[in-house]
Formats: sequence, C-alpha cells, structure tokens
Amino acid sequence: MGIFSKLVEEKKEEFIKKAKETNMRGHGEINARLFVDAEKKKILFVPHKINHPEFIAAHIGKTKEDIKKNINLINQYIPVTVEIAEEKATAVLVGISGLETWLDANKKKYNYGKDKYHNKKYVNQARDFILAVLQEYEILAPDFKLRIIYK
Amino acid sequence: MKKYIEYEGERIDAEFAEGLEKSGFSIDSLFKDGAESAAKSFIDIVILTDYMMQEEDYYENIVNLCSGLSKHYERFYRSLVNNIEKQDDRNVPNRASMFLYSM
Repeated sequence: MGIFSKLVEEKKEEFIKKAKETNMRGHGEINARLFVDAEKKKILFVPHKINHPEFIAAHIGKTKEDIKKNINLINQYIPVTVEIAEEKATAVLVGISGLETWLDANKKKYNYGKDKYHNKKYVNQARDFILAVLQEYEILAPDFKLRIIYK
Repeated sequence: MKKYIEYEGERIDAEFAEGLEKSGFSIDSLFKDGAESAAKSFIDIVILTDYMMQEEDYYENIVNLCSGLSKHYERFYRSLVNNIEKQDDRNVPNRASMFLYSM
C-alpha cells in the first residue's frame, strides 16, 4: 500500500470510528449524526447520548434559550445524517435534525416568521463539503442517495 | 395538479393524508390527541410510509408533518425523542431510520 493510500485508509477508519460513536442504531447499521460548520468547513460529530439542540448549544457556548431568542446563532451549523453500510456511505440527508424540529415548537412564541433556520448558501456549502470529504476518504458509495431539506 | 392540506402552515399532500386514512391514521387526530400520542403515531407513520412512497414525496410530507406537530405541541420533540429511544429498530426501513435518528 502506497503512502497516499495509507493516509486515505487512516482517514476513512477515523471517520467511521467517529461515526459509530454518534450512532443510535443497534444491529450493526450506522446512521452518523453530524453537523457541518459551513463557515469553517468542519465536521462536528454529535455523540449518541446527546440531542442536536443540546450539542449545538454547548458547542457555541450559549444556552438553548439564547438560541430560541436568536436563531441566527445556528445559521451556519447544518445537520447531516450519513447512512453507512459495510463501510460505504449509501445515503446522505442534509438540512434536517432535532435542532430544527425543536425550534419549530418556538416559532410562534419568538415570531421567527417565514425565516429559515439556515440560509440556502450554507446548506449547499455543507452538502458540497460532506460529499467531498466522503469522496476523499473513499467512503461514498457510487449509487448513494442524497436528500436536501431547506429549513 | 396536486392538492394540499395545511396544518400549522405546513403543506401536506392530500394523497398522502388519504393514504394514511386508509391505513388507519388520521392526521386530524394527530393534532387533537396530545403530544405523546402524536409522537408514537408519527413514528409509525414514518415507518409505514417508507414502504409506500417515492423519495421526494416521502421526505416532503414527513418533514412537513413533523414541523406541523412540533409547532402544535410544545412537548412534541421531547416525546418524539423519548419514543425513538424506545423503538426496536430491527425492522425499521432505511429512510425511516435515517429520518428518526436525525432527530
């Protein structure tokens, strides 16, 4: 194995290891729960015992109440779920998670109006970034399914 | 042309609603029976419709129904997460599993 192939293999193993740590499924399947920071081009893995709203509040050093009052705080953090089977990413879901569902409950009270939680540019950047990473690490299945939700 | 019904400002495909009625689920009831009952039924719907629907229609309707219920019941998200944790996922199909565990 060449040095380049070895590096890719190491990155792939590391990604799958971290993905497993986010997973809530039993029976061997993985649904990796992530956020992509669309500004910093960085993947954040959500540990399996933590829900998305709590995770992102802790990550940005704010309370959930702060986020409810100012949804701009989470604009750049785009949720992504990656289905992995036999070390290949077979499906990628971008833009929807518990964070947006939890915020929906506060929509009227805090008068978010028709505002989206994430702007479209960030959602598209997050999609491009996660696909590029999965491709680089040779995890992306050739016939993977992609679904994007703009919330 | 598709017909839609609105719940809490979220668009639900009328055909989707009719399909659910035939399978014993009433969307109107989901919005009347309380957060806990709605969360349990919603999980059943996410799983059931995975077997019945095309990709695009599936996500559009599931996401909008989820948003509508969350806007309607303040405790919906908490009930949903609690019930997902109790779910035996052995027989949950892939799209449903992805959506539920993204919560």
